[in-house]
Amino acid sequence: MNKGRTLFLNLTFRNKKGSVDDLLDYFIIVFTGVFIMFFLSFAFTSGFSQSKEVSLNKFAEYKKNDAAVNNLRVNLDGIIINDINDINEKIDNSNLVDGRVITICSDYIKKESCNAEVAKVVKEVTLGCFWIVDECKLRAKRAYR
Amino acid sequence: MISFNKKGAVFHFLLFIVLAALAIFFMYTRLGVVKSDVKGDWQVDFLEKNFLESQKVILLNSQKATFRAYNTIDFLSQNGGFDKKSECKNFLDFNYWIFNDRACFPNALDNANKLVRNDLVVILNGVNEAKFKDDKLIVDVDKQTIESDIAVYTFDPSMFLDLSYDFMDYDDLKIQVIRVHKECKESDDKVECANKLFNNWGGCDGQLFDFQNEKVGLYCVKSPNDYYISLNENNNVVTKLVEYRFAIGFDSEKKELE
Repeated sequence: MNKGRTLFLNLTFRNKKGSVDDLLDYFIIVFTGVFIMFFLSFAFTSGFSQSKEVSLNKFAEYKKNDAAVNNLRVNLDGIIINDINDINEKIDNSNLVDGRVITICSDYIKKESCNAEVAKVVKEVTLGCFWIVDECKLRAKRAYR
Repeated sequence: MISFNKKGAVFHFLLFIVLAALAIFFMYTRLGVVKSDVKGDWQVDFLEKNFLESQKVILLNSQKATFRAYNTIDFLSQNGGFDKKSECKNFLDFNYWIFNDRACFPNALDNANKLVRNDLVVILNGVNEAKFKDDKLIVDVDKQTIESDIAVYTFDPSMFLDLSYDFMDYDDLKIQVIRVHKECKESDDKVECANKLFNNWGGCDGQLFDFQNEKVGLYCVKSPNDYYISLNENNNVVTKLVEYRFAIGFDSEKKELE
């Protein structure tokens, strides 16, 4: 037997008892790693998409409410607010029309929408919105500029 | 014959335990037993429960302050810019701006600042200062805190409100009144003279000049700069042009205005 062949056998099959174990360990580690990757990928993907949906819905609601507060703020001297409940009521009654949040009559920018009061923001049956010149106003006994 | 090496067997079982743990975690997550917070949920909740609530507080305070400011402007204009009787006294509730050739023009801005501050201290919490500046009302208010189930938020509710009204109206009127007084005091027909001079400014319901006797002129003059204010009258918003009521005494003796 030559020297080279002896060295090769010594390096590969010298300790045959542990070779199958090592091979099995190797396969189990690979299998487990792949499984964990799949699991993590699925968990994160589903978590993110769920988070995205929930966050976007909640943020959309917040944006609507914030827009309603801004609508009230720019019409500060045109409306009566007695307390926070009044503000909450007006925010709750706000509706999206033509991509714009309508909180009070003067938020309408189209004559047709104003006269039809499509957002139904005015709850009093006897009142409504009507268009005068370039503005939508509350139909009530009021003096205007 | 190939045999297994049992020395490392515990590590094999560990891997299965990890897999089992992941499987259990996954199962409970799907069943909803284990809940993880939605990303961005807290932030949106904070905006909704804290920030938006603070905006509502500021909105409510701003509205109260705006109507108080307009009430103050209206009250002063109806009293010729005085918060009490003029030093020259009054005639039929019209405060004199000139009487017996003595000038008693009001310091309307100071009076307004005093009145609006006293009002706002009563109706709003933590008001330190309130004053008119140009066409704005500045209200300095202590910081406030809003507590929700997720956070405590401290904010500054101080306000800077656009009133579109400037007390320079009084300065414009003062110049005009001095001119009217000077030009009409020696006129035979003071009514006609004053009417002519005030005509450009209009009057209350067309009644520009109401002469009670030969020496007193009662004036009701509309805002020279066309300033409008909004008032809360029985929960209805009424917008009106500011009008100033004051009296001018025309003394028969020829004296220079003090």
